[in-house]
Amino acid sequence: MSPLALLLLVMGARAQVASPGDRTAWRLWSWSGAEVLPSWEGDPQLWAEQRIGLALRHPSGLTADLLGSLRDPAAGTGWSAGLYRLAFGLRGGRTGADVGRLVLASERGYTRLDGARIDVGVVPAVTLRAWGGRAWEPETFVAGDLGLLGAEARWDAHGALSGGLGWEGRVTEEDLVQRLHAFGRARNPRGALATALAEVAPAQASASPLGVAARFDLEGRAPVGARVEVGAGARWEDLPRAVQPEALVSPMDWLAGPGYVATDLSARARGDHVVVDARLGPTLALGGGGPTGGLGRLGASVLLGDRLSAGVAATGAMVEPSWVWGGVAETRWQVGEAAGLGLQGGWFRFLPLSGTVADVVEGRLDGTMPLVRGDRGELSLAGQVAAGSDHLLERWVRAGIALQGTCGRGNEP
Amino acid sequence: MRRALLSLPLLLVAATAGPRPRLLDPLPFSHASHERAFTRARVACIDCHPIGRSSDPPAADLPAPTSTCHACHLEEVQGVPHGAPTQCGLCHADRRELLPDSHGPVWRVEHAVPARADADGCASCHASRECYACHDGRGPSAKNPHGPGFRITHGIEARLDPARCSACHTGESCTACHATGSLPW
Repeated sequence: MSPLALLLLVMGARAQVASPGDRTAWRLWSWSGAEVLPSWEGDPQLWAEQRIGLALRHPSGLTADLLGSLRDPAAGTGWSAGLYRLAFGLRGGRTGADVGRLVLASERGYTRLDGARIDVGVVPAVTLRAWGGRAWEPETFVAGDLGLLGAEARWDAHGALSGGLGWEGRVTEEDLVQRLHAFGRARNPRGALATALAEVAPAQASASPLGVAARFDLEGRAPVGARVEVGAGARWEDLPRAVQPEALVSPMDWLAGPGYVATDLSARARGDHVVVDARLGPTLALGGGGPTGGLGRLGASVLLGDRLSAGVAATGAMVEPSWVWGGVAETRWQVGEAAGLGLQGGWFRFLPLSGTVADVVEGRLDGTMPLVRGDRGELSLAGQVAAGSDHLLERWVRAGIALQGTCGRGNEP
Repeated sequence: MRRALLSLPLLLVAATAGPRPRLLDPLPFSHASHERAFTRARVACIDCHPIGRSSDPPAADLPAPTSTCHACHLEEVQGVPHGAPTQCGLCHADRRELLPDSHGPVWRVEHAVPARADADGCASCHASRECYACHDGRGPSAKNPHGPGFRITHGIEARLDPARCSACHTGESCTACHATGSLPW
């Protein structure tokens, strides 16, 4: 555990002792890990990382959240910082505001924002939401050139029917791109669920058959009897996601071509101890240049008594001219919530773009052991060893350990 | 060999014997340990034992519905002191029994869409830091949200559904390895 995490743990403990009447709920999380990638030529790669999380909830509705990391990807070359969340909020019922580095989850996806979000409950079933700020990139943690400004009206009829209508402006130094979106969700007491999303950039032309940049997502699932659930979904994808400006064409945009339809058919059956899943997802490009292919998965997992679980899954996918098929097996021995041992292995036969068929094998053994465990927190040690072989990197072995601690009090913040 | 492999799932199913674990039996509840909290929150007998709403005091062995526990240990309720421990393991011997049906073997690769649509549902059991345990795991052997072999086979899934990649990744994710000459496209 790093000195910073230790200091925060001590501060938290002191605050708890000093103010026994305070009802503030708080939770501190620390993760310290190190890893080595041995090299047979005497130049091992080292990796070190420290993550920290802190959440506070005051009865007045004030909140504070921090989640960040420090990494040294090649030990000794210097630490780099990553910040996922540093936000303060005030919340009361359906009205509230958050400011700082935020991750906003919605039907449209995750919006990563350095800015603010405001929710106002205007009538019992309707909430108005507004957000604004600069989008940040989740791998470099840097806020780029894209500014976001949006507003949305959301309604919810006791969870059975909900929906929303919204507008978002995507601002760069060069231009302003406007998007409109609408979504809806219906759920019945038996567990059937249907969701729909449409997002359109009306002024943005596209080479797709629709002629305008848009994405649509329609999904549904429903129980069939007591133990089976089936689902179906289809997405039309021809609109860049939120992270980067429209003017920037990434390899993903290039791969998408002028739009494509990704479909998904699924079925799940559950017994007393076993769950079986099946999934089939063809992808079809309606215009030229997009992807056409599909993937399928079939898996089963079982509970073997109180402590042992196991799962197997077979998967296959193809997109011209490549294909892959293979399977994964996993077993986990769990003692209570904190201690456990897992073993995972996978084998795939793979035809990459190079045209040479290759076998890919990977295995992983991981375990967690509690060191200290109490009502207000715990400290645990985790370790894992992974090894495999593939057509590019040949054989490899990696091993690491991590020390994870949480402490806090009150309802989980 | 092939027959043995095909029969493996059946063997696994057949090996599951006995009822699934439920609540700890007996439940680790005692009136004595709750007395101070109940007094402070002004919890009366009939708040937990609704059958005793008559003029007679409820008998000590009248069972309270287990949902009563969640009023303090799961949800924040007006007037109930904060600080009631919320660890599921207080009463549930094994949290795996609380897994929703959806959390099957391919849930790891499927959970993105449901998580966006019902983030509050996830938050009823998970803290946001749990997302980062996998999605922020960048060490060479850190937990990988994509599963075994994905580092090698990701090209196929990226070409099949590139929009899913761009939900978290930018073009730099591709060029960091492929444009440096260390790895081919």
